[in-house]
Amino acid sequence: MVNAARSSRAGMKPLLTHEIGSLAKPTWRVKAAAGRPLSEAEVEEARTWGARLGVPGYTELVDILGRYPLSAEERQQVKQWSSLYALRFFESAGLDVVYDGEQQRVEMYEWAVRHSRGFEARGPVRSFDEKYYTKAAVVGPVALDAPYHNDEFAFLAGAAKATLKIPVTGAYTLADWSFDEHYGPGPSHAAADLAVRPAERLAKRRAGRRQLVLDIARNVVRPNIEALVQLGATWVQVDEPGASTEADELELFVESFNATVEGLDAYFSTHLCFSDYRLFFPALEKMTACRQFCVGFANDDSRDRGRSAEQRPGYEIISRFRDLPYQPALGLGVLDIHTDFIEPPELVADRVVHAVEVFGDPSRVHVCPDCGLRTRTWEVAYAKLRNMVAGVQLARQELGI
Amino acid sequence: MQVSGYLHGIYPRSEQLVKVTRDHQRGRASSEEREAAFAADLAELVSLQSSAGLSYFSDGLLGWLDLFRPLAHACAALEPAGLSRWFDTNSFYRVPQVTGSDFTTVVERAIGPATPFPRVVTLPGPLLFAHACQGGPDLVELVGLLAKHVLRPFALRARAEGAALFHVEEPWPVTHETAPEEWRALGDALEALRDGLGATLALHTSFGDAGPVMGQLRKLPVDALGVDLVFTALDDLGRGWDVALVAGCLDARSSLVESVELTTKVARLAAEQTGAPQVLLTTSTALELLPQPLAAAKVRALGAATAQLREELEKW
Repeated sequence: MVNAARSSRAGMKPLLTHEIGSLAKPTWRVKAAAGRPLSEAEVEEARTWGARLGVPGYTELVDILGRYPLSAEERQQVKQWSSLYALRFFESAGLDVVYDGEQQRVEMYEWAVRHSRGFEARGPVRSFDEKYYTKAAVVGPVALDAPYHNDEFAFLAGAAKATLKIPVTGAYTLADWSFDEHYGPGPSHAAADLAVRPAERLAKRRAGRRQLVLDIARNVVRPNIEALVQLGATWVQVDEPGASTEADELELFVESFNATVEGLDAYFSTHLCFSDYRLFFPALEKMTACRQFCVGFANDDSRDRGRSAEQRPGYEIISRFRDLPYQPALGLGVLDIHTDFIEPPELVADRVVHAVEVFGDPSRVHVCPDCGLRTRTWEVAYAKLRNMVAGVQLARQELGI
Repeated sequence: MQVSGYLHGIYPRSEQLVKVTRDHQRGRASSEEREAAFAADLAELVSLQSSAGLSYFSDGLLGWLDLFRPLAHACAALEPAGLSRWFDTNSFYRVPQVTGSDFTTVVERAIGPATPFPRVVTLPGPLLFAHACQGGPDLVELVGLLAKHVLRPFALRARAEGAALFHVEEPWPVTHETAPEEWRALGDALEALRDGLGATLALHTSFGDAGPVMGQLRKLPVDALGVDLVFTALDDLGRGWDVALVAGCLDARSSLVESVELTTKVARLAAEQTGAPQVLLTTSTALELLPQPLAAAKVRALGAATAQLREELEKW
């Protein structure tokens, strides 16, 4: 039985602030986890941020980092310290809803794939600039090996002061970011014969892909989320940066989201980014189990001040989210995560006030970065988030909230 | 019939080069180590193309972060800005932002110096380039400006460095509705690019079905016309071609490596269908969407299919 209050999170405060997911892993965490020695400066970085963020008992971490080599147990402890640091990082920046910047995961795609059956790693593929991910091929029926976020969630649940929101990579993205050597063309190459008419070939591919996406939804992501809900998770963010990759598969993305979460007792949101968001409509009209869409907009917006539609070109599409019949909230991306530009609070306030004017209801507007901040330094990410919170405060004052 | 094979576009970096560039960014590798890693990848790519028996040598654009970036850096009026998705892939390019009206482009070097001859160079199609840009003049004018002031200086520089084949990657008209004035602008741009170039100009259409626009494509002033055979049916290619055919006959987005027999068959059927005077075999689009070992396997298959088709057509 689904708890209506829990799944709708009635009473959420207007202009609620949250992060999206990833945060850069500190050098001390990366090197210690890899068993490499740390420099004085790297240990000092842990000390400085520990004091700055008020991480309880951080000197214990500093002591561990001063040793070399570290035992397997100590290396695991360092990962948990990193998780705790990131949690405090978001909390002390003033966010209402937080997580740990995915400090205990390898990466959003690879972490899920490593804990599932039916995948084999194939090698690095560029995503953008100098950023790569290890792309896998689906080589057999997919299934969950073991729930892969339980340990980090249990750890964070015992440490967090603010509300937790768990980012979980969605089924469509996991499928889209993988090569398909099992569900689609198969290993015989027969269906890859380019002498066969494309319509016939592509129809086979499409049918295979549909089965792959839905199998990942039902057999990998859903059981993983079920385990989290049993542990007490109340807000799960299904990350789908790949959702709009294929314009003619938006309905499949929606179907996979519904198959992933339907009937489960938690508040479910989804994260979309760096896409032509017009493509999502009208498909999103059927995504009724989604209570919030957090979406990146600042990447396409002007840095000039102003609140009119003309002055906020990156936010042109938000009225389409407003008009969805089931009235979800919109997580408004106000920080461009691909630049070191620190958005001034006044610019954040302009973006927020513009969105509230479009929505006519501040309770349906939440505020967040465009995406995870892992490509920025902690210094830059922190400055951006602090300004985001300050900008929301300005907007609240102006709107009388 | 003359049969050639070549590699185009951005080639994936090795795991070692990925690691060194990442380490360099984080201050853990020196610039010398970074340069050495690039040189090692280029040497391996040259060796691969040579052993595969390809007809032209590509430098793999190993230093390019997307198909527009070096051009945007070289042009005074352009600046790489926000990220945008590269067609229906999980790869992103930086949108070239038009920030001024001075399109002067200074190209210091177009081709990796250790690349053997004859050389093939890849350029973004003028229509694709203009649509990818943000801001600036209207589209038709921008197509002309980019062709004349950005692509042509780059092409001339590449020609001076020994480029014999120019592969112009132009997916736009096979993936988007293209207005008549855009077709005219594309034709004019290609004319400007080709004028006095003294090398083969190939226009390749990837990511989409060229069948519906084959009539317009065949009117364009190019020496060779390319199709992505993952999306384009052989019997939609038409007959009686008077320009060379670029057959995109290996799927650059699939991790499954096609058999040489299958690839040869597809290229032969395309050649027979079109009656083109020359066939150039290549991949459907650039191999950057694959991990390097898989890309290398596709290059080997491409070379073997080229050799086999050459042999078959000689007998025929």
